Amino acid sequence: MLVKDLMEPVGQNWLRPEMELSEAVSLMRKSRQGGDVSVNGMVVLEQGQKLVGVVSIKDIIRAAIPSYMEKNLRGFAWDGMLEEYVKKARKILVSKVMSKSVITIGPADSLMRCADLMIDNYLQRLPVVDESGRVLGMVHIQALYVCIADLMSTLEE
Amino acid sequence: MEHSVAFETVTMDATFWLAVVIFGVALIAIITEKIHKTVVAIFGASLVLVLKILDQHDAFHLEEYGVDWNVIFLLVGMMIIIGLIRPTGMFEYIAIKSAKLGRGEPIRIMIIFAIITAVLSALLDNVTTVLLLAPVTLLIAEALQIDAVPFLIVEAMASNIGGTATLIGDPPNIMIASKARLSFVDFVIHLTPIVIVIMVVFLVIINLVFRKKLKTRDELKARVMSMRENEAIKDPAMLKKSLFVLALVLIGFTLHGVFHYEPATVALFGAGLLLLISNTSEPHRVLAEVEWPVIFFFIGLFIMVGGLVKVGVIRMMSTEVLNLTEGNLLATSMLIMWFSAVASAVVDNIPYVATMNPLVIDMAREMWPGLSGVELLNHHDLMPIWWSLALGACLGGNGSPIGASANVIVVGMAEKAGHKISFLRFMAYGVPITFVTVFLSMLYVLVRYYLLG
Repeated sequence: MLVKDLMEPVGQNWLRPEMELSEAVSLMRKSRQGGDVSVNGMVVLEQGQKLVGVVSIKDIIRAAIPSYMEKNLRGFAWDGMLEEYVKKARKILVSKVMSKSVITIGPADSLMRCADLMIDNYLQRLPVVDESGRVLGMVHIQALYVCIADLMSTLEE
Repeated sequence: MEHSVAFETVTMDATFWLAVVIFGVALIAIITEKIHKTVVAIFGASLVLVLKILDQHDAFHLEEYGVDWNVIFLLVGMMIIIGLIRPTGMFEYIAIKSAKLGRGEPIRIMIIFAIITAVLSALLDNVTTVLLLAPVTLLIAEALQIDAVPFLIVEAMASNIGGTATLIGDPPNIMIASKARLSFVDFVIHLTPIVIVIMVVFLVIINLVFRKKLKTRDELKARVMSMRENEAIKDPAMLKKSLFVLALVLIGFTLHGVFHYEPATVALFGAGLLLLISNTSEPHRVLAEVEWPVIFFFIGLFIMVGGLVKVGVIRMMSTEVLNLTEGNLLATSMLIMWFSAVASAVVDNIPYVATMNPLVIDMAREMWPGLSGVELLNHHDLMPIWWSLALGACLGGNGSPIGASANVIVVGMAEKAGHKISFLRFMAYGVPITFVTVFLSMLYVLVRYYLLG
């Protein structure tokens, strides 16, 4: 098997950098991967073409945490603090929270390379990009895990 | 040796112009921030050596031309101590405790925070103080749903004012003390009184300006009151050790003149002792907290300014200043104070004071050719000039967002938290405060040193 066999086609699952987080979140909620669960990360494309970043649910959670919450201050939150900050975070632009240094993989690359990249770089997903730089889709870590789990089960028999 | 040098006529040869050009270009690069100031200083210093304006022995071993190791080790020592204290949560504890002391009332919190910032800045360095207090300030302001920006600007200014009070409070004072052979107690006697007066006036002004503007609701005050400051303390054992060493260091500073230790010795001892009793097996982590870019900025600057001193640029400038004021010491003091204030608002006050120190010393040599050493540096009539330089250079830092490192830090942290402080908004507070504080300093120097003599 190759990367393209595990890949979820990009379809409608992409964000624009100038979107606000509230809009991005509702798109991510509506999205489906493998037909049932919503995705927990999307590519960010400029004019629907150029890959400029990736947004994960972690990036969205991070956007709700104020920059000054450092080690020694973690004990000092009040009831309702998260709600207040989420309200502010709604207007933040996707381009402000996305990770910009995106690691990608090619459709014809091996699954071993895909697994190694994900584990080494703590990635939950890997955009699949062809030679011309066009984004074809995304490999989600669950898909890779299911693939490995299936293999383990069949090899047992 | 010093005296024969001081009265040779300056030859404006190629070396002379090289030193001037290197320093001038470096200064422009630092002001425009096109290249990082530390890179500029290291490269500039290397040029001074490569072009043989100074030889390496001058730069590394001579007090007159070279690196002032007293300043370097005082800074490194204090940075190590602070690096070890920081994780204990002591500063956050103090800040939360004082916000509660203000009973959640914004103006009261602002005034208490200003006082704490000033006191901590007098004892530690300004950057550390605001770096530690700004996050707590942002948290409290958000809890009270009030604008954090006035608080942050007030803290930056309080830190610059408080830092003026002591030898270790602000880099200009550290540099002046080392060159002028002044002790910690000298600063306490001569600068602390006026800084207290300035601080009181400053608090009165912020109270007038902000009392009406800062309002919050009772249920929001309850948020602050329900914070448990004890939760900030992460390492009580280390905190006790830190407080012990900090107390020892402060006693050491107070008595260093009596026992004939340089302040750097005291700071280094404190750093060594705290490292030892912290039982750390990873000193590299602690040493990584030292702000090496700042340290190397100083080292590079000392060498570049040493070049200027050696070729005689500084002597020419000091002669010019004396011509301008016709040797009148009162006029010289006032000129230096106001010029320092304006200069420090525009450029970093560290290179400024590094240049001014040898200038003042050259002036003293011209005025009292028979004297040398401490007799010359601590000449009764020279003292007000040192104090004017310190007051102008430290307080001038309030004039603009780039006038002092504390301001730069505060503006940066505010922006990261989504509160942009524009250049003009800072100056709207900074310029009037600078004017008032320098004016008060001028009256102080006039009355204490010239009218009462």
